[in-house]
Amino acid sequence: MNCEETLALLDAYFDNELDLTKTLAIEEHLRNCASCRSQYELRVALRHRLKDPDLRYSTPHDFADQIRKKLAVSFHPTRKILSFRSAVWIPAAIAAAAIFGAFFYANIQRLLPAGPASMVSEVASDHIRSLIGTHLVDVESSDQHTVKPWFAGKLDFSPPVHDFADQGFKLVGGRLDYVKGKNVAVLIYRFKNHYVSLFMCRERNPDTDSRQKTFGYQGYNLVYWNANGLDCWVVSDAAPGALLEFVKTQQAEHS
Amino acid sequence: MVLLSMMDQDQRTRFENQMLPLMPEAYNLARWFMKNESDARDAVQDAYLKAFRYFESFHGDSGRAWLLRIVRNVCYDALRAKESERNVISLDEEAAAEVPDSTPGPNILAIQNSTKLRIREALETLPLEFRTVIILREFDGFSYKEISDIAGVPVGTVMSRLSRARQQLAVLLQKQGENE
Repeated sequence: MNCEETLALLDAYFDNELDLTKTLAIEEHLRNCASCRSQYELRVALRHRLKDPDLRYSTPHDFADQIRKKLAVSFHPTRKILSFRSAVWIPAAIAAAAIFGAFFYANIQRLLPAGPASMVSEVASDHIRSLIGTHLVDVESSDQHTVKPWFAGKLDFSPPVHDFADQGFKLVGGRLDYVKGKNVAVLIYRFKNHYVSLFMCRERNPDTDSRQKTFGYQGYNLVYWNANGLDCWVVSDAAPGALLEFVKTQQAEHS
Repeated sequence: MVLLSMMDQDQRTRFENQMLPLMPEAYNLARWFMKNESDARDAVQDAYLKAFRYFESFHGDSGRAWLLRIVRNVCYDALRAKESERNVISLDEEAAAEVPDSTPGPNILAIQNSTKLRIREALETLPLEFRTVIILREFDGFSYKEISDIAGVPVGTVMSRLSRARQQLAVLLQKQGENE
């Protein structure tokens, strides 16, 4: 390597940006050329002087707080951007809710007292798990005459099964589940882009309050009611209004 | 809506955790560019707000380089705006407007020491492009590739600018030495 080539690559060598071959070639040249070596030493001296921490400007002490405040204020305008991107956020939120739900399912039994509250979390968690897993349905059919017989012999009751496709709730299938130590029948309906799970089991305690109630759990809506000795729970991420509509449709059919 | 605002909050927390610790480098760069505290503060603040707005689009691994690129761009824009402003006012006014920065530099006492003062002066005399690469390389230790990303020039240009910047700095320091 001659002087011209060396000087062209000297800074890259000095900054450790060269490959091994060129590095070795430059080192070889520097050993033998005092003029190029002085250029190299000039850089070493310069770097040494620039190392001085006093050359750096330190941040004014209140500055980080000032920026933090500005960011907090700028937070409203950005909401527009975020909601514009909600197409991206919503699946992420669902996944987060699902993970949260699964976590709750694993822990909630110990944390919550028995009763409606724990039933809410169990039912909601079960619904969420069915959506993230592959176990949405055991019997896939929109035909109530296929789904209803499928439950026969698996439960100590015969769940009413109806397709409400005309009202917007299309029967997808049925599944057998185990909630709070009891076998339950689950019917899955599709409403627009939402799945609706209807849980039915034998009334556990006739003395408990059996009036219709609505609950919210991790972004999911739940409705409980009791009909003909069956505890019914419906859960979905569909709007509460749609869910109540579904409940009414069910109740009209059952009564 | 509640969920959305929780996400806003979460997003801001993430941004703050990732970007606020980089403030010393951001401020130092801006301060060297703008040459006074007030303009440097404005630039860094602008840069942070801009960075927050585009934080969603940041997926790289070097938040440092990403933030400093924004700081550098904001500073360049501000300096360009200043430059064109200056072109419309008269020369007399220009001289008057050129009020020297009254805020003390980093650690004024230490800088009483003349060697330190000299190198500061020399650095400030360097053309902006040269000052940029020196600061990014010598103060912040960025690689050529990172400097190329921040400054928006090819790696080869980073190398040649560093080379010329160092030579110029050496000449400036030598001249100062002769003048004493």
